[in-house]
Amino acid sequence: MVNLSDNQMLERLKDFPKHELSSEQKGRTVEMIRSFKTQKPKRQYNFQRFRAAAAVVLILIMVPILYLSTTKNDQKTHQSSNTASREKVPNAITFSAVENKDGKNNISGNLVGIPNKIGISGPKEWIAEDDRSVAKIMVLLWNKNKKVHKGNLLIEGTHVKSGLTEQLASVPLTAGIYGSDAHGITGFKPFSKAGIWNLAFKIDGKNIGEFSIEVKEPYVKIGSSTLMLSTQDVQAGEFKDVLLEVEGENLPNKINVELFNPETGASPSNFPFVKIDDYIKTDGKKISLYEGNLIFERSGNWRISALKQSNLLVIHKLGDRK
Amino acid sequence: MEASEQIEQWFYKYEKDITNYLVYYTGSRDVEDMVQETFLRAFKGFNHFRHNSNHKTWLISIARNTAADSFRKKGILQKIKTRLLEQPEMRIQPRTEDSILWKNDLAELYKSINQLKPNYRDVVLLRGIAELSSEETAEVLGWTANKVNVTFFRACKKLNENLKGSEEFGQSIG
Repeated sequence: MVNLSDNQMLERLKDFPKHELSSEQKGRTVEMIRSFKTQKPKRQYNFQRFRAAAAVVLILIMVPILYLSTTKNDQKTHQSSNTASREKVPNAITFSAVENKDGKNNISGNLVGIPNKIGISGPKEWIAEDDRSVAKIMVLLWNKNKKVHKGNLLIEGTHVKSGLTEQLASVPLTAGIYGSDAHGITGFKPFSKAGIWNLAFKIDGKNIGEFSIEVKEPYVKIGSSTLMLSTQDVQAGEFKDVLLEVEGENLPNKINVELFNPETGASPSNFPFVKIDDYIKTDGKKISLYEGNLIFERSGNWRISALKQSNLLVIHKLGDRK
Repeated sequence: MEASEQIEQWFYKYEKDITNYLVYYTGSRDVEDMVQETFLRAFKGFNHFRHNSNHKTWLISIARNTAADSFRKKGILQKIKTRLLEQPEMRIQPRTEDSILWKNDLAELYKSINQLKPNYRDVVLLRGIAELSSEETAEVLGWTANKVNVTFFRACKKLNENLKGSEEFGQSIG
């Protein structure tokens, strides 16, 4: 490990094991932060604030003057636009539900949403056109006044880029768990598009909170098979323990996934995928789940095949896409 | 939003970054007190925080100052202790705990980082462990981005030399 360049050194340092506080330590720290509520942050004179205030006063004086002097000239061009429904709301934050007093009852895994307000226990990543990842979603709600939310929770999604709004779920609320004040279990309607979605949570027509999530492009399809990798994540490199879901009956215990790059004309590469599970979906379809490793040697247009079915696949350059 | 609510949100968002940085800065996994002190200081300084600034950079700056203050306090205590016990002075250095690192080559690299002079070590930990950009690192250290890049380049060169030296030493005795 010698003569590493700056970038190689940065990459090497990324290999260092990551550390975080334990759940108990996090619980203790959150308790400590919550105890700040009774205190006030220190306030000192800050000349920058005075300068900012002076600038605001100046703007307040200047704006009406400028407005009056310009509106006469171009009243016809003045238009207002309403883009509120398409503006991105703040990102969802990842957090854990921690019971207030003793730090017990940690929910396994992470929630996303607005801490102390709305949390969703959902998939690790949101994938467009995928019903698996949104089949089971738990929603937890907190209320500042500890008043239990009652009724039906409506969850609406708005695709920021297109403005498309869809109802994702309607959930009857019940008593709180994991320190929350109410919760409900539901499934979302699959997201129809990739991109940023604003999720709005409404009870009796009243919006109780909004946050945004990133929905990735759909999984790679190969005929009746689905490679459980988002097309936007497929880039040159090695992918380990990739899942392949195949619909059908009497499927073999092992299938080959073939990768062929027509641009280079090199011999196709074969990757064995081994069956790890069989199950029947709620709609009666029989499914087999396989697992294997894949190596995309280079970026470009590739053909991916499995069980005599194939599809074209664009492999991005390493680091091109996230 | 109240200051405490904002700090709590930042805790959920940046706790891992702060903890990880402090573990490698101090060389110890026992950083809970420092993490708490970081967020306490953030709360106290909340009114001075420029809200268009980068939250992570601000918190990493506080964490770095917290750790440095802790080392200074320990240094003073150590001096008093050494005088009282009339023992040779020991320089306080970050401990390389076995539990921090998994692989030998990473442990060797971490050891080399801790042997760097302070400004080299600072820039390597901020760029490599805290994963800050040159501009963000410059903000933490109060430098220019150019100085960060030059210092990081020199630090890498020094690390390469140290690693090469230790490899040759290993071969000569092995």
